[in-house]
Amino acid sequence: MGRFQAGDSTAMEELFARFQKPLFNFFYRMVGKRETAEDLVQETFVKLCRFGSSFRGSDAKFSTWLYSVAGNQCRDYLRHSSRRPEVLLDTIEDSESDSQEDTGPSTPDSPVEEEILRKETGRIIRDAIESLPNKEKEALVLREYNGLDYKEIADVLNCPIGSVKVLIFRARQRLRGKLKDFEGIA
Amino acid sequence: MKCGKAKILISAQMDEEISVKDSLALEEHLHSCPECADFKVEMASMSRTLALWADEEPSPYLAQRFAYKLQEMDEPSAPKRSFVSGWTFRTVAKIAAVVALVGLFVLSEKGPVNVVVDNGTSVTETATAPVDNTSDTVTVDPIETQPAAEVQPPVTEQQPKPAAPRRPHRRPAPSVEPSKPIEMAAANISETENSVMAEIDNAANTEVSTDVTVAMNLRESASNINDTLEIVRGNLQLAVDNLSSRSSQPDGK
Repeated sequence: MGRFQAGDSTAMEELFARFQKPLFNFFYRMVGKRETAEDLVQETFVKLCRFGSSFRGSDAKFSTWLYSVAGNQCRDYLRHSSRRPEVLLDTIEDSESDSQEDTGPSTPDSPVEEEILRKETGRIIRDAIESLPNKEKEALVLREYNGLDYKEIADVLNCPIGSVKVLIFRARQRLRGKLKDFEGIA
Repeated sequence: MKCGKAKILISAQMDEEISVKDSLALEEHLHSCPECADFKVEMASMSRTLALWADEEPSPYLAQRFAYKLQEMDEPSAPKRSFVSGWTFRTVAKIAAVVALVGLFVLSEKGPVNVVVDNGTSVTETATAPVDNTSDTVTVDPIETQPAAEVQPPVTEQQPKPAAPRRPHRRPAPSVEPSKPIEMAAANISETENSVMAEIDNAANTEVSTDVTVAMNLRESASNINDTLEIVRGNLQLAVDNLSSRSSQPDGK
């Protein structure tokens, strides 16, 4: 980030390469749509280019700052999308592809069956997380999948650490009920 | 320790976000509370289940799209500001429209005109007879004529900053023969001005999350205005040259 602020134009592309996947997965888990997640990743980095000069800190704090920007983007999107209910196309695509795969013969422990099981597991977990309130969802996703600690999550959500602790606990408690009947492979 | 607090601490302990003191107190509680002990086992199992939702790969074209976006942002013609203030575009659009109208008057057949054109190198002609513009359908805002060649977004301290966006006067396109270049340029400017005003109003009413898209539209409109200004500038230069050549002839026409 220091190189970018010093005028090194390639630094932004390197930052993008480093953070595009975790940011994409954060957005994808929050909004549920690949294309929207990719758009949000791009918008986040565009904001970074425009306002990156205002960042003052080390590399460790940069990721927190980046997730703060991403979190704001995500909340803006969810706020607007809640006014216009949209069908999760990924859900439709998954169900269509599952129905196509069901027609073929399946053997136990075959790679195909493993792939189906993996997708089905992801779908169940995704549906369960999708049902969480936005703030709890965001705290849980940042902790479980993006590996942020409570202090960083508190900075991203702009709330006390104690609130983060409670948000994550509540999210897990809700998920416990939804995933209880899932005969998972855990 | 009550079970409610213990369960929150169990969740925090999974993330290693618990103090040593709380950890000891929690362990003591778990020895005497089978419900919380079961809760801890369930939480650990659920955490393993959540980890089964693996990361997805973004599209391989995402990086390429961003690289193109970076190039677009680095272009010198692109405005550096993230949001262009509405009054700047309004002022530029008005100046462009006035320049086009001045050019229109210069090439009109109605008789001598009042022209003040400064191409940066020489001062121009002036006449005395008033302009007969009865056949023109274009109306002019009460604004000072600006130099044609050097049209830049001025910073005018007198320009009021409206609390609410005010609707500008929309001039109709001049109803003249479209074959005449100045008239065509004036019509283009009027049309471009209208589209810019629409974009500015759209931007004023648009939420923050779409300002990137609106900024792109504004940028495109600015580019259109620049192109039209170049056409008008060329035509005005032609008009000045014509006037100079007329005045140099012994009879004059």
